Amino acid sequence: MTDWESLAKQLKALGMQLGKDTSLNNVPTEKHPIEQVVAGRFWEGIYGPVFCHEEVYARDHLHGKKPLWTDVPITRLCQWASAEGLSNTDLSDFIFLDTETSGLAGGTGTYAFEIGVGRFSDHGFELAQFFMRHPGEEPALLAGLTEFMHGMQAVVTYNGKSFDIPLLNTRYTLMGMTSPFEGIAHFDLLPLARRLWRIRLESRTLGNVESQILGVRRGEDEVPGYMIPEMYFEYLKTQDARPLSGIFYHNAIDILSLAGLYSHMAFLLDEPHSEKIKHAEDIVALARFFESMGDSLQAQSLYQKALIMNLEDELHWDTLERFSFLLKRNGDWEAALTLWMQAAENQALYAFEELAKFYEHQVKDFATARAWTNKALIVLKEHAFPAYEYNFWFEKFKHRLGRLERRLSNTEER
Amino acid sequence: MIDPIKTVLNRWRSHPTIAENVVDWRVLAPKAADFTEIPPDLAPDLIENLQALGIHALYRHQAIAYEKIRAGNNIAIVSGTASGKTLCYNLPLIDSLIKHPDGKALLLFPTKALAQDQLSTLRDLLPYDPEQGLHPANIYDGDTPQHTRPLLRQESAIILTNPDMLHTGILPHHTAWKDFFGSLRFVVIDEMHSYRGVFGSHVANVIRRLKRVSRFYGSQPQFILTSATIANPQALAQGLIEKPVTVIDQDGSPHGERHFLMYNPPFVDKKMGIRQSSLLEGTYLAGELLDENIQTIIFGRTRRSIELILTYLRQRDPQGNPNRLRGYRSGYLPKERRAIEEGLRRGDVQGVVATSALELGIDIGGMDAAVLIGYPGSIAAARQQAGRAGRKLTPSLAIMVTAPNAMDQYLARHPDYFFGRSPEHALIAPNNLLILLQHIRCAAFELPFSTAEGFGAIPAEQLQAFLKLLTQNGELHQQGERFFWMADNYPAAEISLRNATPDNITLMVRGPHREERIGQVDLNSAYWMVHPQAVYLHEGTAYLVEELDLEAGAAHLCQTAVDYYTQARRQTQVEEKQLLQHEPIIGAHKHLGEILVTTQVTGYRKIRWFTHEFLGGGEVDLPPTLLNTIGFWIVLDEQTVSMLKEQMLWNADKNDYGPEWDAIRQRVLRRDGERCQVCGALASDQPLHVHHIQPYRSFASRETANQLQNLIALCPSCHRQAETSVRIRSGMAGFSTVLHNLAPLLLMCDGEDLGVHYDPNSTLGGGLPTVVLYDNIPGGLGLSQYLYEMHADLLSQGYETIAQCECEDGCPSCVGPVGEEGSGGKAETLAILKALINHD
Repeated sequence: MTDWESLAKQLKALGMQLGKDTSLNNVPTEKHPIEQVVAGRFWEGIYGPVFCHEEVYARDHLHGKKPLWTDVPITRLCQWASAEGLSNTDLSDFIFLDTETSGLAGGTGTYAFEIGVGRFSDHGFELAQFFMRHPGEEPALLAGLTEFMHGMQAVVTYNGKSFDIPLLNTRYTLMGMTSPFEGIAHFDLLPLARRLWRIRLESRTLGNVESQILGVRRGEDEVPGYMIPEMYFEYLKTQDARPLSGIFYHNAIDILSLAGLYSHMAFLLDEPHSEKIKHAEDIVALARFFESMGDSLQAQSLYQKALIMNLEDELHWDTLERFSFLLKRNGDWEAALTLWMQAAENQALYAFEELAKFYEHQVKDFATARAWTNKALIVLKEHAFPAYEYNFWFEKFKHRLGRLERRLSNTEER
Repeated sequence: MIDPIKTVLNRWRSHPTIAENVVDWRVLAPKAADFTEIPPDLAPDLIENLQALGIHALYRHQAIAYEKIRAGNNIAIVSGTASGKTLCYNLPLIDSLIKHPDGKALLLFPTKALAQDQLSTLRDLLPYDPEQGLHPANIYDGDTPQHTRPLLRQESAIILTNPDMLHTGILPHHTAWKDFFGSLRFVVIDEMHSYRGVFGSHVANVIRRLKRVSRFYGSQPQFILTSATIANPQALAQGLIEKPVTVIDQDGSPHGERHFLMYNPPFVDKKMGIRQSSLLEGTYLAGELLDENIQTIIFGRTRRSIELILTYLRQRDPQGNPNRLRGYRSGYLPKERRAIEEGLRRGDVQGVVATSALELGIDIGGMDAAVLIGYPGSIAAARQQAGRAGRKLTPSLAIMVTAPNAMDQYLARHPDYFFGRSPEHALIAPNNLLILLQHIRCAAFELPFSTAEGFGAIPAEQLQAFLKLLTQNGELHQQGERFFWMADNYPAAEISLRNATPDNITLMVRGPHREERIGQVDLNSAYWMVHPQAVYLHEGTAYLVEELDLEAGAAHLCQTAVDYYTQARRQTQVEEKQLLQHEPIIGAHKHLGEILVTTQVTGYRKIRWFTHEFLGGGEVDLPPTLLNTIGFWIVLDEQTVSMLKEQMLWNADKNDYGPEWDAIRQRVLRRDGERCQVCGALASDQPLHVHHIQPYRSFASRETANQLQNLIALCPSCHRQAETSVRIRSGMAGFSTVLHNLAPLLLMCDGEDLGVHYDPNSTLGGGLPTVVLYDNIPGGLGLSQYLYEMHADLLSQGYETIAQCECEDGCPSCVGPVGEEGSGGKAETLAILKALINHD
C-alpha cells in the first residue's frame, strides 16, 4: 500500500468523506491532444509554447443580425467609460476579451485556462484563443496575452470589472509578471447593458442580450458555462481534448458578441433618434441614459418621443413623471404644467403637490394652490391607497393646507 | 486616611460569621516598579509620543522585549493582567516602522472587540500627520465595509485583524496584499493562550500558511506573542509559529499589597451538607465592598447568574444610579459593552458583574477588588479573573467564593492544591490529520505546492502523501513537480476555525409602539436561555419570553414583574449511527462509530428569587440539538460486572429500596409533618422526597439503611443539594471522569473538545455498562479514533493515575473530588480499571 493509500484509509476511518472521484482509475490509454481537436499553432515566447487557435472574420461579418464593425463616432461611449481621451481612436485600438476559468469562486486558486481575444485589423476581425494544456503553462498563456495586447489602448469585456480583469491581474502577480492592463481603459459592457435593457429584457446576461438584441442563435457545439470548469478538470485527468472544442466555440461566440454588442451600443448612443430603434422601451432607456449623463436636451427630445409611442401604462406615467421633473429643473414650467395636469387626471399625487407648489411659490396664487391641495385630499380619500402611502401624503397635504390657510388669512387681513 | 480595602478587611477579620468562613487568606507583599530608562536609540518621534502620554521610563520587561526584538529574536511575553504587556510589542514595532517606513506589521487578536480596544492604544503612539491621508494603523476584519477595503490594503502599515479573517479573507486573496506581505516585518499574536485545543490547532496551520505566503513575496517576519500565565508558554509559542522563541516572563510592573481570600459559605444544615448559596454570599460580600466605594468586579459562572447578582445588588440600593453598577456578558450589544469598558476606565462605573467574556485582555484598567463566585474551572482562568483586581500602589483584594459542588468544595478543603498548582497546559495538535488536511487544501489553493516543499513542520515526503491523496480525490492536478488547485470552490470558506455555530437569535422586546432589539444569544444557548416562558434577565430587568421563533431567528420578549427565575431542564442521549470498528479487549469490548448525541430542552422549573423555592414548572416543545460525531466507547463484559459484584466493588446499579419502601416513605412523610425539613416547603406545594441521610449504598443491608432515623422528608430542590454533598460516586462515574480527564493529555487537545457520557444500562452497549467519549465537534476531529487505537495506554494511565494518587477516596486529579460525606468511589473505579488492563 502506498503512503497516500494508507493515509486515505486513516482519514476514512476518522469519518472523512473521500473518494468522490474515481476517474483516474479508468483513464483511457489513448490521448487526444488539443492540436488534433482544434486547429491552431503554438506561440513561442520566453516562457515556452502556448496553444493558440486563430480565426479571421470579415469586418462586415454579420453576427446574428448585426455587423461586427462600426465606424460611428464613440464620443458618448468614451464619455460614459470615463475614457474621453479615446474618442478619436478607431476600433482597431480596442481588444475584446473573455476568459474561461476553473471556477467562479475567486481568490488565488481560480485561474483562466483559456483567454479569448479579438481585435480589428486590416484583415478584418482577428480572433485568438490562447489555451493552456495544463496549469504549468500559465506563464506562457499570460505572455501570449501580453504580446497580443501590445499597443492596445482599451479592453472591452462583459462583467470584466469585477471578474476577468481582477482575476488576470491576480494571475500575473502570482507568476511574478507585469499585468498588461495597467494604464489602459476598460469598457465593461455589462453595466451599460443593464441601463439600456433593464426595462425591456428580463435578464441581462450576455447570452440573453446577444440573442434578444443581436439575434444570435448558438449552434449545437455550444456548452453551458457552468459545465466548463468540470470539463477542463476532466481533460486534465484524461488528456482527452475532444470535448473541449465546445468550449472554444462558446468562447468564440462570446468574443464575437462582445464586438457586435459594442458596435450596436456605440450606434445607439450616437444616433438615439434613428428610425431603426423600434422599441419604445429602448427610447425611454436612452432618455434616462442621456439625462444621467447631463445631456438634458437629448433626454428631453427622447422623453417626448417616447411619450407619444405606445408605452405600457405604468412605464408611460413613470416616464411622464421623470420628464416633468427634468423640465422643472430646466425651468420650463409651461411644459411641466401640461404634464402635471395630465398626471393629475390620472390621480398621481405628486402632480397635485407640484401644481400646488407651483401656484404657491412661483405665482403666489394661494387660492389656486389651496384648490389643488384640496383636490389631492379628496383623491386621497376616494381611492384606496396603502396605509403608509396614505399617511405619507396625508401629512404632507395637511401641512401644506394649514400653511396656505394661514397665508390666505394673512393676505385677507392686510 | 485608612485605605477602604483595609477598612473592609479589618471588619471582616473581626466579624465572627464572616471570618469563620474564610478558609484561606494569602497576602502578597507590595512590589515596587522595576524601572529602566527609555532606550536612547528609540525613534525620537516615538519618545516624544511616550512623553506626551506621561511615560518617562519603561518597566524592565518592556525594555528587555525591545532589546530582544532588535536583536532579531521571536519573543513571547508572559505576564499578568495590566502589566504593560501591550507596550512590549507596540514599542519595538512602532520604532521599527518609523525607522523603516516601508515595513508592515500584522497584529492578530482572538476577538474583534479586542482589536478595537487595542487600535486606539496603538494610534496614540504612532506619529501621524492627518494630511498624509489614511492613518497607517487600521482594522481589517469581517466588519470592514467592502468599499474601504482596497484602500486599507494598499495604504496600511499596520493591520489589526483576527485569525478567522486572515484565514478566509486575506490569505486566499494574497495577491491583493502583495506589497503588504512583501515587506511584512512583524506578526504579533496577542493573547496566544486563547489559541489552544481545536481553535489553536487551526490557528497554528493558518500561521503555516501565513509564513508560506510571506516567503513567496520574499519576507520572513519576526513574531511577537503575548500570553497570560500558562504552564507551557514556550511550547505553545513554538508550536504556533514553529520557530525558536525567547520567553520573557519577568514582570517589572509594580503592585500594591494583594489579598486573596478563599471563602466557603456557611452551612445551613450541616447534617444534610447544605450550604448557604455562594451566589448570595458572594453578592453580600460584593455589596460590602461597593458600600465602601471600592471599585469591584464580580465574576459569575453563567449568564443567568450575572443577571441575578446584578438584580440583588441593585435591590440593596434601590436609590442608586443604575449606571454605577453594570452587567457585562456575551449577549450585550458591542456598543453597550464599549460604554461599560469606558465607564470602568474612567471610574464612572463602580461595579461590574461579568462572565469570563471580560477575561480576554480588554483594557478596563485595574480594579480594587474582584469577587469570583464559584471556581471558574481552571487555575489559569481563576488567576486571570483575580488579576483584574490590582492597583499599582494601593492594596487590592480578590475573593473566591466556593460553590456547593464537589470540585469547589474540594478546593475549599484543600486550598494548597489551588494555590500551589501550576496553571494548565495549553495544548495544540496542528498535525491532527483532519485539521492538517483542511489547511493543506487552503494552502494549495493559495499557491501551488512543489514536490520539494514541506508545510510547516511537515516534511516534503510526508506532505507528498497528502498531495497525492488530494490529487487522487480530484482536488489537485499534478503537473511535473507541482500540484495545482483543481476545483471550483474556495476551501477556506468551508472551514471554521472555531467550530462554533454562527447563528444567532435576536432578542426583541415588545414596546408600546414597536419592537426593540436588546441583545442576542447564539442558537445553541437560545434553547435553554430563551425557550418559551423562560424568564430572561438583561441588565437587571426581567423579561418573559413569549415566543421563540427559530425560523426567523428571533425571540419575542415582554417586560415582566414575576418574582421567580427559570431553569431549563435538559436531556442528553447518545445513539449509535454506524459502527466503524469494534474489538474485544481485556474484560470489555471497545467500539468506534458514528454516533448521534441529542440534547433537548424539555421543560423548565420556576424558582423564587432569594429563597430559591421551587414554584412548579412546565414543559416546552423545542427541537433537539443534534451533534453528529464520532465516538469511542468501552462496554464492560458481563463477566467483569459479575466479578466486580462478587468483590462488592460494583455500585452502579439503581438502588432497590425493597417492597416495603412505599409504606416506609409514607410513614416518614407523616412523621415530618408533610414538610421539607430544611426549607419548610409543604407537600401540598410540591411532591416531597424521602432522602437517606447516610447513603443507601453505604449500608450492608436494606433494613439498616431504611431505619426511620436515617430517613428525612425533603423538597426536590433541597434533596438535590443534599445528594450533591453526600453522594456515592459509582465506579462507572469515576471511570468516566478519569478517562475524560486523561484523554485530552493523550490527545493533546482541549478538554472541551471531548464529550463524555456513561450509562450503567446503555443501549449503546446492549444494556451493559458503557462509557462513551466523543468528539465535541460536528463530524468529529479524529480524537475518538486515536482513543480507540490507544485504549490500552489510556486505561493503564488511568489505572496508574488513580493508584498513585495520594488522596484517600477521590480528588479532582483522579476520579473526581469527593463529597464532604459519602464515598468517592475510588476503590470501585480502580477495580474496573484493573479488570481492563494487562498486568504482565
